[in-house]
Amino acid sequence: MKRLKIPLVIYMVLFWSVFFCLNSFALEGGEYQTPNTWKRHYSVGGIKYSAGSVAPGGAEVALTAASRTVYRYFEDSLTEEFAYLRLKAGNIEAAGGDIAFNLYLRGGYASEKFEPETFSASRNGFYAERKDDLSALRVYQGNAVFEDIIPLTAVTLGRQYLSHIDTQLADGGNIDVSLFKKRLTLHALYALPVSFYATDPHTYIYGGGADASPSDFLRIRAEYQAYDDRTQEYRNDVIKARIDGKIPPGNLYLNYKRIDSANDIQAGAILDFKPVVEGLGGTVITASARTITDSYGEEVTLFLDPYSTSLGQEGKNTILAGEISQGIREWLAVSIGGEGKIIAGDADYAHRDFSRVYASIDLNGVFSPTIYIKISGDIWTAPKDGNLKEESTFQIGGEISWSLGDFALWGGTNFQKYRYYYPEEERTVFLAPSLKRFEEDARTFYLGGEYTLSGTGLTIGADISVVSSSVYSAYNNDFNDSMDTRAELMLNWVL
Amino acid sequence: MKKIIITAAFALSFAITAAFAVESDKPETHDGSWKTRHGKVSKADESECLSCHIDRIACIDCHQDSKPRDHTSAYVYKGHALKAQWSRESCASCHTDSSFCDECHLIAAPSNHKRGWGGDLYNSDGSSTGRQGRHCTTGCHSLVASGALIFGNDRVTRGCKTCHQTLERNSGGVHPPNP
Ligand code: HEC
Ligand code: HEC
Ligand code: HEC
Ligand code: HEC
Ligand code: HEC
Repeated sequence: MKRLKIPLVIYMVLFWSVFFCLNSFALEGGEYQTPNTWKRHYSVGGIKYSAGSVAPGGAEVALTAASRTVYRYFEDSLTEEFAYLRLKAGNIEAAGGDIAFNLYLRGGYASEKFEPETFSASRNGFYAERKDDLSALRVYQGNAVFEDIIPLTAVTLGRQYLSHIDTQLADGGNIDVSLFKKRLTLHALYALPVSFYATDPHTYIYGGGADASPSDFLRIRAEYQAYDDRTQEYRNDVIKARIDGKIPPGNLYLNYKRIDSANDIQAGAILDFKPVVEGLGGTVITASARTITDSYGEEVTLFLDPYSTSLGQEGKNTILAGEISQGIREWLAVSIGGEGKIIAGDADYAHRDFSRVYASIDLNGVFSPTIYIKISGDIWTAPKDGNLKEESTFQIGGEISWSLGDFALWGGTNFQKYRYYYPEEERTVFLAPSLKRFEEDARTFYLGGEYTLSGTGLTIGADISVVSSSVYSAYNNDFNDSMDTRAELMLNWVL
Repeated sequence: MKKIIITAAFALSFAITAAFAVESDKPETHDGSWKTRHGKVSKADESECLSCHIDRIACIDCHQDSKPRDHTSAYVYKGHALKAQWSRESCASCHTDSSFCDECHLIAAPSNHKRGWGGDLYNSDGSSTGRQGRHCTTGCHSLVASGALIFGNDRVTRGCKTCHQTLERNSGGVHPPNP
């Protein structure tokens, strides 16, 4: 056995080198497009969309039903069940125009209230939504769109994503009027923004704006919105403007937002260069700079700034970010990116300098033409500033997707480390508590797959993930070594 | 023998996968670094995205519906708090809901809020020691007592306010037990 080890290594190296050569042929002309199920590395969920089919009379009908069952075993066990339904009927001719109906719902149900004794971090977002109940319903969309019934006008009524410069989920109405062959669109809206976690029917948004594309290379948008909070009795005026230039090889933009007296200005570029050297892949560069010139957060509705209560006001700061992705070979690409936040004024709890560096290596079609591998690392650091001590997190991980016709498999692993200071709990002789340095880590493994029954529109998937972490022992020694395990079963059916 | 088996296994895995072409219905832009870039690209002309991502189904899925993989229980314990303190902007691409953070903080107390945290300290038989609970030396009170000189940056009190904020938002005061 021992004797075999070294020759085996040499042998494998040889094997893979031949393999690599073979594969570069197999991928000639290939790009770094990720496989269809790549999003499973970001999150397990949900529903798959369908374009639908055409019904007699030219109307388009789409129906999707999906479910996701999550079994969680940790300090306690819990099953959560989510059911999704999407219904769309479009292109219905009426009164010289078109009508479309759009409905997208998610119902969630938990097997029990789930009140973990000690480790409150085993709570999740669904818990915050349902609170003391076992179930909760979300309506993501529920609207009707009337197009060209009034000439050149589209009216959307109901629950919708108001999508102008920013996107906002709201109940209400939006009118778009398109002029000059759609080179100019004017809009007006009146709606109540929606929260899935709390009900606040007291804030109203109203406003309007213009969206002009004087040439194919230029787009200019300007908007005014008022967020009128009728319980707090204040109103926030928001002015937004944005210019996008499509200048080869990419896009340049300038984005401006003014909330009351705070200006938020962002400029950036996304550049996509063709290969400069034969054999090398293309290069994608993104760069942006953003500055907020005044603090805001006091007397600003949570719909504009949901963080003002948990984190305090957003202070003056500047954020610089950039990323470069470079194709090296048809099967190899690397990217590296960074971000830095520089604050103005005194640092405090949630207003401090911060920097981030991340890098990744993509291997496309190595080992097998249908395998995509990504290895990545990410470091976040908040440096020492006055009384604030240096804190950081660090993560390194790998992801792999393998498509096999109707089957797709994915898996990944991730290691995270958190270094931070937190007040010590013990009584001290001093009046004020001392801050103690903590160093915690968490490891994640996941594996999943899905199968599409061809011709039926049915997809079945499963995913299991395991988290083990040093933090579990922090407040309860009983589950010192236990793992947080989730198993999910996904079903999706599209018409 | 072992070599033969290994060769056979590799050859087989190659043969199986070679039989399927790489199947991606995605446009060229959707490469390995698309995750960090797509948001900025979408801002220029979202209608382009929505021509494939009909009715935002995919966007909703990731941004609002099913949480990212890095959101583990260790993340809820500390990771989310740290990252939010340093870069709330990174949360804002998805967490735009007005009450997401607050509604959880109102009901999910931190792990240090166990017996002996609030009220008075107890003896093992359950009788009061007459001394205040641990929270008193951990958070606001001690800061008030010390004139907040040691942690002049507000690190500790602000942590309590993250959840005990309801009063503050209305009247400028903060006091447990009502978060
Ligand atoms: C696979 C999950 C996923 C899907 C699907 C997805 N997003 Fe994102 N989106 C993210 C992540 C993760 C970020 C944060 C990226 C970062 O900052 O690194 C993000 C960020 C954004 C941002 C913020 C960018 C910024 O710089 O402020 C916008 C806007 C956005 N996405 C729009 C969309 C739209 C529109 C769609 C649907 C066409 C969509 N996203 C689909 C995961 C997703
Ligand atoms: C030609 C059709 C097409 C267009 C146009 C398109 N996408 Fe996609 N996109 C897809 C397909 C197909 C997938 C994979 C299946 C899925 O996840 O729904 C995908 C997946 C994604 C994902 C998941 C992450 C990943 O890499 O798989 C994101 C995020 C995304 N698209 C964002 C966008 C944004 C933002 C735009 C507009 C700038 C856009 N897409 C335009 C077809 C398209
Ligand atoms: C790619 C989008 C995305 C980004 C970026 C993101 N989140 Fe989330 N997060 C989600 C979704 C989706 C959920 C699930 C919400 C639900 O179940 O209602 C979630 C859930 C959570 C939860 C509850 C955990 C759980 O198990 O449900 C916390 C806490 C959280 N996010 C904090 C943060 C913080 C802090 C940041 C910024 C550092 C952040 N998130 C960034 C999408 C995102
Ligand atoms: C699923 C419930 C949940 C959600 C949702 C949630 N948090 Fe938390 N948060 C907690 C818990 C529990 C703690 C305390 C953890 C501990 O110390 O045991 C906490 C602590 C914090 C702290 C640290 C307070 C201190 O003591 O310093 C900050 C900051 C914070 N959260 C910010 C946020 C932000 C911002 C969001 C929204 C993006 C958010 N949280 C969403 C549960 C949640
Ligand atoms: C993650 C949110 C969160 C943070 C951070 C937080 N609390 Fe609390 N606190 C709660 C909740 C929720 C309650 C309600 C009581 C309960 O359910 O345990 C509470 C209750 C209390 C109580 C009353 C407990 C009792 O037993 O009567 C005190 C005292 C208290 N908190 C003090 C503090 C102090 C001091 C800090 C800062 C060191 C702090 N809290 C940080 C959420 C939080």
